Amino acid sequence: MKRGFPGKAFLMLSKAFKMDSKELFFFLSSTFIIFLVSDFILGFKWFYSGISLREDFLSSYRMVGILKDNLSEKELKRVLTEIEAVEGVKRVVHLKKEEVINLISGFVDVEKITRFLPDVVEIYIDEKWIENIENLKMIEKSIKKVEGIEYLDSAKENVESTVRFIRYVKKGSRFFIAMLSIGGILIIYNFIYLTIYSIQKKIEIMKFVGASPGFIKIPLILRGIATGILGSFLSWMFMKFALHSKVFLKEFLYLLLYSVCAGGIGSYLALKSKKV
Amino acid sequence: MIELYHLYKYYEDVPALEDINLKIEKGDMVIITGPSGAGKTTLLKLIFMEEKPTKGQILFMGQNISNIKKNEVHLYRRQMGFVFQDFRLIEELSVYENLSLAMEVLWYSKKHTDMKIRSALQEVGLLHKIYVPVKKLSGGEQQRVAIARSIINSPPLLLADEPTGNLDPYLAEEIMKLFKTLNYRGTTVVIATHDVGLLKYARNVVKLEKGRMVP
Repeated sequence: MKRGFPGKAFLMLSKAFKMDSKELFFFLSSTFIIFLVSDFILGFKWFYSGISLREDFLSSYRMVGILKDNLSEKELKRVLTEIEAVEGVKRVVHLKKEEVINLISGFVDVEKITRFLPDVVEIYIDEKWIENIENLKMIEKSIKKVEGIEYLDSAKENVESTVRFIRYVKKGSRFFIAMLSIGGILIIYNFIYLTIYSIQKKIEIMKFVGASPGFIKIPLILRGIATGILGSFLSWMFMKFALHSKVFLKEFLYLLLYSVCAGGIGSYLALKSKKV
Repeated sequence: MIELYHLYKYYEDVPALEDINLKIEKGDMVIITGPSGAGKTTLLKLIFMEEKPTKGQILFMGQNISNIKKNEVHLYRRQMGFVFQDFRLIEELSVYENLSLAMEVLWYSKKHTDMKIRSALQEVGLLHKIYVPVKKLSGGEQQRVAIARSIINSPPLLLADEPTGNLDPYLAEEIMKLFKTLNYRGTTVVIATHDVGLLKYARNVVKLEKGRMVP
């Protein structure tokens, strides 16, 4: 049978790696699947941390308080100090009427409402306090008690639903990452299992001619680890250079660590179940 | 070289070998014979440590190997060669590659491997087929490659399980002559066969019937 270029290249590659064509096929196909799995892992990691949903929300959240009219400088100072003293408050920004006008001038006809506009305070809350709605309610209650605050908008309903949504995203992503991680181990297990099956005769012969258990097992374990490393490296390259995603070296190193473990565990389990 | 004392092997409750007592001296050529199911292969498997005896002792070069640990088996196997009825060669590989597998496991250098392969093939008269794929060889030639593989590391003991079972009478004689030559050069040879026509090559004959030695 005459072979075309892909066939010849495949044969050359298998000779170079000292594998037969079946072994090479298993190696390449499982590397490709690990590449996809790693990409999904990176994708989910990126989804729940890379887009900074949580961080963006937490850092931009603030309560808005409307101050009573005609507060003297001294009273204003007292109000701000009292608000800042409330546990969980990170910082307070006082916005004068003119600044508020500047802020909303794009949305409303300020000429008509200028005379009703009060001074406001933006109250930024410590991030660890926001995620628990009970904490927010407590802070809100304490601020409302401050003499000089006319009205306080904490948007706690929005906070509650947003925090819940972020929590679901986070949990969901973690679940998928865990599933994919287990999936990666199973893929390597399956690949090594099939490889052992395809070279069973060779393994048997090696045992008969006096090969030590390590001589037979170590290359198979290394092959599993190599599959993991190669797959995760390719996926990192793909995310970084083809999709221009914000995947950092730290993520890659975690992925590398995972792939080494997955490769090792997967091959070890396959060797165990095949009783090599 | 090999001493067997009160050796028993049961597969679940079915006896395969019972009370085998045997001493094989260094340089001996022993043929174990008997009908199918007599326990010939089981006996070789026990000596080769492929299986463990249910009861009894096996001494190989003075060492008790009946309860040897799994991770030490290879150390003893390196001192034995084994020839199978079905040759156990990798057909896709060449004669050279098949033989080099036996050298690779011992981490020999390429130069040393090359020398040993040539010498083993010379001994079995197949040096001219060194790079031929095994699948292109005849049955007799394949068996000679298998013998070359088993003697490549110069083991003091050579075991063969029905080595002529797949060969015609003429080739069977050729293979037995080869074993005889190896025996003359100092290798202890133990062959299991049901072919009584080959007994003339033996220095000692062991007869088995229903798992027991018979006179």
